[in-house]
Amino acid sequence: MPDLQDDLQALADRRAAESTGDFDSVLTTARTRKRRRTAGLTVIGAAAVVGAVAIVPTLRPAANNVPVAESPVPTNAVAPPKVETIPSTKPSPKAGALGLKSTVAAAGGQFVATFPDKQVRAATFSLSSASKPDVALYTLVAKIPGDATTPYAIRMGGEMGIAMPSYNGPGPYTLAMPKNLPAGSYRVCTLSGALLCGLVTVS
Amino acid sequence: METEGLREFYSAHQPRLVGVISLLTGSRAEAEDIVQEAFVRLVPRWEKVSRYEAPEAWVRLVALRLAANRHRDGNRFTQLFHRLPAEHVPDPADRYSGDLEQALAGLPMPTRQVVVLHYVCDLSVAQVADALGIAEGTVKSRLSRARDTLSDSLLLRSDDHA
Repeated sequence: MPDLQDDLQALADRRAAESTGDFDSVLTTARTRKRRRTAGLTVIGAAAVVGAVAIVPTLRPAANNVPVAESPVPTNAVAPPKVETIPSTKPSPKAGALGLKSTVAAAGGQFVATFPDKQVRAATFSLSSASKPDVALYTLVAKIPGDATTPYAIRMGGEMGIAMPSYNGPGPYTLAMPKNLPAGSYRVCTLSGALLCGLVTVS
Repeated sequence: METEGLREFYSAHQPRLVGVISLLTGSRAEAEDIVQEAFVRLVPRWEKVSRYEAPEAWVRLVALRLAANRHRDGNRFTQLFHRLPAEHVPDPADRYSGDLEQALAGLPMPTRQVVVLHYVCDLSVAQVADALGIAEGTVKSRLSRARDTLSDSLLLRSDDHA
């Protein structure tokens, strides 16, 4: 179909002859697009860096499971065991000497304690083993004038709920060793005022 | 970038490409826009495309696809708003509106592409099929339908001249 082809060619040639082109504008447009693309990538890159900087601390495990402020990521729901440094035994204050008229007593027997400093103290004392002075075995209630029930010993952890007499005096106090107390060396200390202690041997 | 080589290539092929694309669009102004866009896309790839056996085929294919995209988008716009006429309206600025061009504009865009590549760009049926990614049989059938339609316009024109 040569006629059709010739006509189409002629039509295309006519349009081609009428066409105007501007190569410089092609170059300018291409370079502008390249700059925009580069700027866009720069902005995206910067946004990615900012996002990463913001996310990293969020994802980092919080120290001691402390929640991160406004964190979208919940902290570990399983709280680690809380570790507290508590001394197992309270350091014993330096004790003064408790005056003891007799350092040897029989189980169930009595002995007299005096305060060298003549200070007023409660009529209660603690009794512990000399080998474990921090573990009180008994609370000793001294003889109180007018109270026939005194002196007596209260076993720690055993006879709870017994009212303690609120008698105070400068001493001397007569104390009773608990019955059935095994023979050995025991430490007797004041429970009020400056700490005074003395050793009593149970025969 | 080898700007001078690209400038020579532009000078040599831009006018002819505008002529080819204007047969697809029916408007020289639109064809110039499309060809300009095709060359803008060529600039960053020139170093690679210039080593091709026929760099002009690359630009022509880009322009061809741009024209098809515009045509498709234009049709969508028309269907969406029902305000623009569906049929082709020649651009008065083109100062040319012959029977053949009107008949060409009446063809579907895929058929127009086949006609332009085969008759204007002198590509064989196989080359057209390869360029458009369609079967040779499809190219042949589209050419056949196009010939029927366009020959009518040629006959009409012959009758007018007679």
